[in-house]
Amino acid sequence: MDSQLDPAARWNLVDEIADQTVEYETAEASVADEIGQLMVSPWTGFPFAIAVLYGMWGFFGAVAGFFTDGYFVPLFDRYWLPWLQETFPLEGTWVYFVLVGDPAATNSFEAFGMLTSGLFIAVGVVVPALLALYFILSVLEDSGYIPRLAVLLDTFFHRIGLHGFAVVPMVLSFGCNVPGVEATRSLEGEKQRFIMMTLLSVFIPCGAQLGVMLSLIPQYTGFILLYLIAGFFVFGAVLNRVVSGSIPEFIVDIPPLRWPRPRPLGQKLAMRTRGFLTTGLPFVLVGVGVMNVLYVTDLMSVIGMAVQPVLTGWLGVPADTVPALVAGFMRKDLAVAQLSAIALTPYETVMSVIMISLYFPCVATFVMLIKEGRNSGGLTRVLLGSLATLIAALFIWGGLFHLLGIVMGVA
Amino acid sequence: MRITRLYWAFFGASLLVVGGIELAVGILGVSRAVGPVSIGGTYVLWRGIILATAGGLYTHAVLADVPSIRERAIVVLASGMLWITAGTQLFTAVLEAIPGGAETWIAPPGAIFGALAPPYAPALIAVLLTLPAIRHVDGIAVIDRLREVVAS
Repeated sequence: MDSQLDPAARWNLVDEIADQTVEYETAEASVADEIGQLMVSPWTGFPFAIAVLYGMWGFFGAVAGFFTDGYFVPLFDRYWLPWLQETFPLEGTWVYFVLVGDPAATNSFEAFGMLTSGLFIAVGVVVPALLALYFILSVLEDSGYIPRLAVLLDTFFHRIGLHGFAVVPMVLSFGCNVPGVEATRSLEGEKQRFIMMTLLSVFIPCGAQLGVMLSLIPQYTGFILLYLIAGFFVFGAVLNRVVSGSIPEFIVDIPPLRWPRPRPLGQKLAMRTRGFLTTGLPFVLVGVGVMNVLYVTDLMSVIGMAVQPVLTGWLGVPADTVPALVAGFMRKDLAVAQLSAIALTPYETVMSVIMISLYFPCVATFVMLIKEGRNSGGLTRVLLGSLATLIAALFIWGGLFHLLGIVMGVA
Repeated sequence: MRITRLYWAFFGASLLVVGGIELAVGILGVSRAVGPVSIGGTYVLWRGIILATAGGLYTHAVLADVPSIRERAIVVLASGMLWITAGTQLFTAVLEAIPGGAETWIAPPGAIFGALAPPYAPALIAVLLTLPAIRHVDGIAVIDRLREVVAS
């Protein structure tokens, strides 16, 4: 064959070969083909997507609850914490406080030590959540559903400078923000990754927080969630205009629907889990250590006192909610749980939960933001940008809710 | 064929009604148990939306003059929504029952199987009623394949 053919002649040659070798025939769509089409059609695709997301959250809640509440909580509280409190030397020193935490604590969350609360959050809370989410995500990917969901939601995400595949980190974040932020690396371009990371860490409550909200304030949970998701899209649209950079066009090849095969599923699950254990887990532990240093140096109470005027004045919630805010640095679900012990009006309850969701990501998400931010436009840009967004969200979106409360006469 | 379509219509309408009740229960924040059926609990609002839309899809499939492949696919999709909902509830009930509490690591088999006892959520009962519909879709597919074989 002449290797010096010009492009037009080369394409003609391709056409000739194709004409001689390829046979075309029409084939009727099967039921499976039609189901695949229905999944990207809005009238049938959205109801099915709701069912899939329901199944995903249900599976996540069941598996995470099984491991965390069923086994890790008793394991850490009954065996690990008492053993560490008894045997660890240097009690009363700052080293003891940073590593073990409160010597009188009766559960691993309240101890606030790197080897107690840190290890419990990283291994007992985040790892089971990750396993559940990675498994269900792998099933959805291998079955061919994720590309269809991406196509279905592409129109919405395009309005905030993202494309349909942004649904993956968003869905993961509703389980746990840590894998959600980690999954933003699958998005193309620094702008997309920055917008998504920021929006996730500010507006999306994790599965544990949602679970506590549903058990403590079920009548308000749907409303709070709607308000936060509205904020996600409003601030996303603003960030899309403010942040420089381009968004690549969305072109996706939709594979046929098929049953996931166990072997590749297991390999994918093992690879993702190993990735988190080797790179993400140390970050979470160090993050808890840094938090403890803030407590030791009393900087945390200074932060609490600094934000108090904002809470009472701008957002209209009582000063009693400050301890819950401080707890929210560690785990937001328990921060919401702490609110139930405070006498609040319905408005104050809803406002406080919105505030806990908006004001700062939990420590595990924050360290993941640092880790992923380095590869998404630079650490400084991501941290400063996220900080500016969350301050704006707290003041504008939180303030707007306060204003609504005043107008309605409930604040 | 007429019986099948009547079945789809009745089943779809029932799902719409039960889904509507679950929606109302979710909005009002109450729970109700009637005989072996229990309506309430976490995410009841979402289950209501899923059941009602599945009912809507079943009803839509009936409206076609002759059930085409698309209508059959809609029936399978709506049934899939019910299978996901019911499967999640069953899975959650079993996993919640396995940890034995403060004293034992794994609960005795009786306690685990006890989690499967009634009352059941409407989706779990509806799943059984999807079986004839799925069987019918599958049956049509088999007949079509036989026709193709005969024609060839």
